[in-house]
Amino acid sequence: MRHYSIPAAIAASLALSVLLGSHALAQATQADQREWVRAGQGGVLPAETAFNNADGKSGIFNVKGAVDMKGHPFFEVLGTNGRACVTCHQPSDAMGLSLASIRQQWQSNGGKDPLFAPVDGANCPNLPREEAKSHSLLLNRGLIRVGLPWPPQPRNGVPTEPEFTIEVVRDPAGCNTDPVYGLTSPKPTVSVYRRPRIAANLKFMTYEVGPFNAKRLAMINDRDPFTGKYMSMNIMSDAREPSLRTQAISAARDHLQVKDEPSADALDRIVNFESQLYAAQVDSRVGGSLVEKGGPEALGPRNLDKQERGLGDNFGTPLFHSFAMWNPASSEARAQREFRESVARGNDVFFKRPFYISDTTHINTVGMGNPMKRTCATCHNSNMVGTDLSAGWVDVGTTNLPYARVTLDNPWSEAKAELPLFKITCNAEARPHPFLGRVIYTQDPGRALISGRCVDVGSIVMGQFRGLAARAPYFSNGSAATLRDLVDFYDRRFNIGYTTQEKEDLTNFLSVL
Amino acid sequence: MSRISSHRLFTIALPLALLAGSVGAAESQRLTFVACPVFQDTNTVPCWLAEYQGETYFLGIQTDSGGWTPPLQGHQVLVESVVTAQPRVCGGIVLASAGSVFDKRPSGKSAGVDLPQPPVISTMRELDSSCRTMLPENPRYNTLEPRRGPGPGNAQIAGLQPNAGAPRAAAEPLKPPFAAKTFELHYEFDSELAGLTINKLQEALKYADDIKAKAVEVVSHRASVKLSNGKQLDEIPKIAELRAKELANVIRMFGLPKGTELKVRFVADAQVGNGIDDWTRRRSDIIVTP
Repeated sequence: MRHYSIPAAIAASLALSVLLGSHALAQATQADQREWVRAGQGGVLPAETAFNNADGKSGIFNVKGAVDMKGHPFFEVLGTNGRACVTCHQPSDAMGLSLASIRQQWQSNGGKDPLFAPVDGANCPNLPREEAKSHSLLLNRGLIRVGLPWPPQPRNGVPTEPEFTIEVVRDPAGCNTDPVYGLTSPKPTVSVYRRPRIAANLKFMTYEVGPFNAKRLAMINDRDPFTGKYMSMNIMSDAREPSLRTQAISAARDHLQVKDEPSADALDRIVNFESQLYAAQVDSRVGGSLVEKGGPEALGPRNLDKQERGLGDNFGTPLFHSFAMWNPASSEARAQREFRESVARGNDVFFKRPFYISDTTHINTVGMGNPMKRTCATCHNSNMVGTDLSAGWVDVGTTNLPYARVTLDNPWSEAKAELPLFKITCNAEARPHPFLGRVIYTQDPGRALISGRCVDVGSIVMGQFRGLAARAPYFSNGSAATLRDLVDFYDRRFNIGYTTQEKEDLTNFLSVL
Repeated sequence: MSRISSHRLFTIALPLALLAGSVGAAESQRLTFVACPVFQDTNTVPCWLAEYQGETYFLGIQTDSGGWTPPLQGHQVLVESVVTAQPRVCGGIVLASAGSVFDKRPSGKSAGVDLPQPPVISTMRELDSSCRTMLPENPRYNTLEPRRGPGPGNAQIAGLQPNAGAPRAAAEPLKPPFAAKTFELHYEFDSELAGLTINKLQEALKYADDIKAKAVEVVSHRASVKLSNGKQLDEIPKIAELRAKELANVIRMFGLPKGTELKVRFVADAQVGNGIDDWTRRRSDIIVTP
């Protein structure tokens, strides 16, 4: 394996990461071996440090300096199942959770590792904890079970009347038809399976906005009950929590199984920690340092700290700034030079290459027309992170048929469908889904499980583009195993016709963010 | 009155001047019809067209969100328009707004001439899989100078600046005596979402707060459209109720001043269309009473 140098400050911090735990660095010398931070292990998370992944190294940057993990509520066991926030938001995974880490923990500890807690680390809580097949969605696709009440709970004090009925068509995991945990149980619950989001770069994700939603103008944004402020609704796959504080409370209840809500002090410390933390790739296995002086100002966690939130779908403030210094690149090593030039071209493809964006709810339907001729950056428009600056739930087809990736059962293969399939039938008077009509088949109704709206079926909040190399797989349902799979999805979905070179350039570009 | 589900039912001929494309003679001619929208690409942004009774009409071009609302393929579109005398754009006779509240700034030029305010467009509620015509770029139609091209724009949209949502300077407080005021919200056909005139709701709620209103009353309406073939096209029977319900929920989520009563009602009977300003009757009134 080829190694590249990283800046001295990061190298020094890397040495400090010995404090993270007993086994970490020995394993970190192998590609894609992850440094796992165990709940309650103590130690210090350095102000700045880097972690290996298959594409190079990802880095994190604590703006306020090193963090003593001992006694810190983000890192300590808060509930009854041995987990902490860090269990699913690992520093080595850009504060998300990679499949590499999940499998590593299974190999090390099997089902007794708190990550595999039955409540949501198993396909259903009543499955035998020690068996790998009980955790197949976590082990195969990196998915955590999210059990949501049906019908939806009232929001902001206003009852939510669902516009549709939901039926379970297929239930490979068994939870949606389970008499105790399923849709017809005494506490009717819809179980969907989703990837954890990254707990970093959050100033770009959650912020105060005006009352009316910029994309769905007849909708009021949710308020943070602690501040009364209208919030951007861009955290969580379904935007069900308006702020980091409410998210921490619900995560402690649902994922950590706390008996009592965390104290105000603990919540303050969790939110403060998350709010000062930046994560991004810092080193490319082929492209070398991504944070060297004179390099692209979009790259690395320090640049995320320097930049402000804003709309980047324009030539005045392009969201990933400029890669001109890499096109042509001046590196002496040919492989490095070619990689950097590929990244620069990838940014151009992302920013300037138009295609027909079609049948995408909350994009085409917000006054743009269907189809529209635009670029990736039209929807992924938020400076530095590539989310949508407006409340960003979108049905691009990752969970709704016919576009969602499915495994078709057949007699010649053992591959079976893993995700549930729901049939959504919209009420006669409801406004139907704009591109799928009144009957929709979906693996995850997404935002519609919160809003109760037909138009929201399959809509998922966009995820950040940062630290991607550290935290495969991608999309909320883990349906893209690699960045190339992700690019291929879009190429297929919109009939873009990317050349092989364009696909490679886009993949390389995404890998350095 | 029965609803019309397909544009193929429109068989009544238009005046000959229109059919002949004699737009000068038909300058003030109103044209209201339902058809599949047609996507015509150009070397910049696409044009939106619609075919009606053998003629092609130009509706508008792709632009930023918040301008006009281009059609959605997969649905028919209701067009409420006047015919202009402008040179054809993308091969279509140019239709314009009949003076709607949805008007925004021009979306660009064609062959150096400003494009008019686009007609009032309503995406029909249900799917129509036959509406999928996409035409490739045709050099003959490469005359557009859009306000925004097919890629990144030239500047940030003011409303989405980093500090959008930051508190604004307080306006001078209103002084009594206060008067009752009515704020009108308008809708696309068969839609309960007043997206394009939601600013009127904001104004109403601000006024209610400023004067600590005694009551805020929502009255939602249902309307018909008189098509150019003479037929009346009714909105769905429940639309007035849906509009009232939707608006009331938004107001509850937004919150009213303490002591302000929210009253909600709707008028289910469709108001008959006249083919001139039918969009004005697809409406909710918000009446703010001191």
